[in-house]
Amino acid sequence: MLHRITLLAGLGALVLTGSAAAQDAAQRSPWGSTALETPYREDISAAEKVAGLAKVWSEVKFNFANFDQVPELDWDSLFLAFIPQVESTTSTLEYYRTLQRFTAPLEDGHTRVQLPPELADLERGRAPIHTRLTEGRVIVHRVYTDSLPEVAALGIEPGMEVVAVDGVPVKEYVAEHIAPFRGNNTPQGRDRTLYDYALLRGPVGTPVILTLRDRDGAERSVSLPRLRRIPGSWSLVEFEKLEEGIGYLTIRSFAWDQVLAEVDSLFPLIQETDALIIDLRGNGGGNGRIGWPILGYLTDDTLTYQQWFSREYRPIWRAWGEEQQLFLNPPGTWPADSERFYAKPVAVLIRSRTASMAENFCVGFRIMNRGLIIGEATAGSSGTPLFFALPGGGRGQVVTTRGQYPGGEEYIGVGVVPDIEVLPTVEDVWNGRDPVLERATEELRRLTIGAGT
Amino acid sequence: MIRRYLSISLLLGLFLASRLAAQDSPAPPPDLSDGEKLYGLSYLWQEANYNFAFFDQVPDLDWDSTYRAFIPQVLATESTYEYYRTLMRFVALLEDGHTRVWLSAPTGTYESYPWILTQNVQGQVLVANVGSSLAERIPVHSVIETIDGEPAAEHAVREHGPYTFASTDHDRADRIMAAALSGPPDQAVRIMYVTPDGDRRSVTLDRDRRTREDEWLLPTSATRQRFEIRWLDDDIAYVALNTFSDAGVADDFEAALPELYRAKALVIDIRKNGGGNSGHGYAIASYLTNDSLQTSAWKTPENVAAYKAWGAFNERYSEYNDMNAWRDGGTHGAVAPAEGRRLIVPTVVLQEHGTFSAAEDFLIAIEKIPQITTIGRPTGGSTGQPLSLTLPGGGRANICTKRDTYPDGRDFVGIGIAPDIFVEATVEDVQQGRDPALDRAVELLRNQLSER
Repeated sequence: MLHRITLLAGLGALVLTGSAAAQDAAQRSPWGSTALETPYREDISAAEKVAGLAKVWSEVKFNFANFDQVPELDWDSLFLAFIPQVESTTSTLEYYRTLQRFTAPLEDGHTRVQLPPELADLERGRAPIHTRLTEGRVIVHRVYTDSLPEVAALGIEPGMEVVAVDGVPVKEYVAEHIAPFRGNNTPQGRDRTLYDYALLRGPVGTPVILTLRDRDGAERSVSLPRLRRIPGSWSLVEFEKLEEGIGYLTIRSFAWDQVLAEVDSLFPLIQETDALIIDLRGNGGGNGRIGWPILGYLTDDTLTYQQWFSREYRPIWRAWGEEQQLFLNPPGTWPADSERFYAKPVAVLIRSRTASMAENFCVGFRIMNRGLIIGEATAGSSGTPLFFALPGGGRGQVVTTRGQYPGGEEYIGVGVVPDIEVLPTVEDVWNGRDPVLERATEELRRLTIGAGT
Repeated sequence: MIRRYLSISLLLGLFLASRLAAQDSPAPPPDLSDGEKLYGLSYLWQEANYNFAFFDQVPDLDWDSTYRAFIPQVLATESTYEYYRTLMRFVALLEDGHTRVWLSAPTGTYESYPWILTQNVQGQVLVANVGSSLAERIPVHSVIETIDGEPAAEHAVREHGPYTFASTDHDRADRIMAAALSGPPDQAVRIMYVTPDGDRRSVTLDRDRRTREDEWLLPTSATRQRFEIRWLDDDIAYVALNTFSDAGVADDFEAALPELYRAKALVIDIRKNGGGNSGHGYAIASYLTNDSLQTSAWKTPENVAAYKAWGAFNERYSEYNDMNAWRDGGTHGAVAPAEGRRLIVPTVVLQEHGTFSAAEDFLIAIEKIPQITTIGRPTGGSTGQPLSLTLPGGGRANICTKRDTYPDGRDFVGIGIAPDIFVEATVEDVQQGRDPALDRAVELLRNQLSER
């Protein structure tokens, strides 16, 4: 029995981080100036370029929550070094790519610069396959062939290795075209960004040439289209009853109200199970207003989640030579649901694509002590971004909060570490196996059998 | 919401002065690269964004737009001095006396003036003091009519207006007129002036204040006594408190108390008091009151990064997103009446444009004392706590981070403290050695004494 809801076609919905509502609201300059919010032109003026760079420098300098995690970074010196670099750019695109290189050393997934909408198609195109770094190699994990007969005809199979992109060995390609523009909080988050998410991205309509290596070592090249949207549907919530009464609930986002509505509507079915697996391996985050009620169904008590801090800056403290203060918000709580309480054993599945609110969910789950977390460490990137407009129509964002386990243990910059680490192998991919799900099933079966005897 | 603070020193390094900026140095500043010039400008822009306490007093200033417009201007500068002049023009637009830029350089490198000090009297440039060697040729209180052929006040405004840091229009005008003869040390300045006797003369003077030895004819702020006492009549004592930067002024006042207890009335002159430590003024004020005194209140801007982010879509935090959130600092504490015998007699406090900062704090503390009347003109209207910054090339900047107000929140910075009785000296008064404010004080006190 498989239940699924389909909220949005295509994969686009899965890449959200942070709050969707926040995306529309950009911070204004002091006293409401919009002087730096100039519209897109093919090559904005040198003054706009410098002012935009300074805007990024300034907002990061006063608001970024994670400077202590990049202690070697001299942000002021980097700004000085980038001034001539932005001045020498010859297009708005090149300018924005330079800004992206400027923020990458902050090593934070929620702190970055986005291209103006006019340029967004240049990195919006997606190839209809999903790759991951597996055992240190770039492996095809999934091929999307719905309504794409020309892709189906290429005979690409999960398990094949990508050895080159556009004729360049894959790791060289990444080092040149992707890595310099992306900051990540952890090595696993970085591998996710580079190989899961960004590897095959590019201009809509421009194909990408992959050199693939088959199981027997034979190599061949294929040309894949880069599409604005991959046909077919993608479910944000799926529920299935596995054998022996184990429920398998996949939640791929906490960004949409419908996710909560669907979990609510599935709850009677979930309640019939003897154990539950919650799969967050594709969940890039969203909003606590979606995540906390769902986590709350697993307890009949008030649940506790992460604490966080933010910088609290008062000019006079600095003038007096006092230290920068931090505003520390104590661990949050969410009341128990009066109607829904699932009391059976639970396991949560994670990997590096589990990010942001999905990581906060894991922290709350761990505090709750309700079951095992199985899989691979999460991205280690969460927090509230401050958005600000930039000259030429693009936008910057900087993370303003740093979540921590109650008591101060870090998961930002570390990731939520699983209780049981299970790393899929290339062989698993060839065989269509999901060893993480298998391990979770096995652990829960042991518990339910134990409960029954 | 429970909250507590913790300090994490890891973040502190971020706020130390830029490593790029050199230390103050007696040597001429180095030439700067375009990148360094832009860095300095951008640094001032961002530090003002996050620290300046008076943006609402310059509502027509679009700071971001101004910053953008100055980018090509700083790039076009051809020397470090010219660059700093451009930064001065940029920061002067914030119109605050405690927010400024300056370049430390060997004395007289860039700017000097003849052995003449000038002052603004009713919009005219008056000679306030001269070097002894010029005293005969250029009598004190001569009116300078033209400078290099241009009407003197117009010349001063054009040359110095854009580079003058002031919180109020009257302080700005005074500073501009005081700078009237300043300019490049290697260029002589030609002035036409009228002596108090009515002689019209002209002379060309070297700007040699820094390179030629001379002595000022009259006392200057550097040589003036911190404390003066004299008797205007048998029963009215005159006390001048010329500074609060020296704790000795309060000691002098206390030492003079046995003599002052004889006074039936008192004039306290703080017209030349440019400030210092408010505590010294409060110590003196404590002898003038039978009741506890309230002092000025203050606030400072506040940025909580998370609130700023939330403020974009949550009304509750919108003031953070608008960068209009403040932290109330309370007052500077109550001033208790002095123990022992106090000095409760009809009193006039004389104030002027040159009454500044801690001297303004003194005026606020004594505002409610019933036997005190203030006479003169509005004070300079500028106080606060500057944040000190180091710029590329070794120059410095201050940004005012603290907004002082009356205890009830009324502003005086940007406005000046108004006297109870406004009295202004004319050119004629000055030339004839009259002090109409003091005359008015004596008249008022005599009336008060006779009414008793």
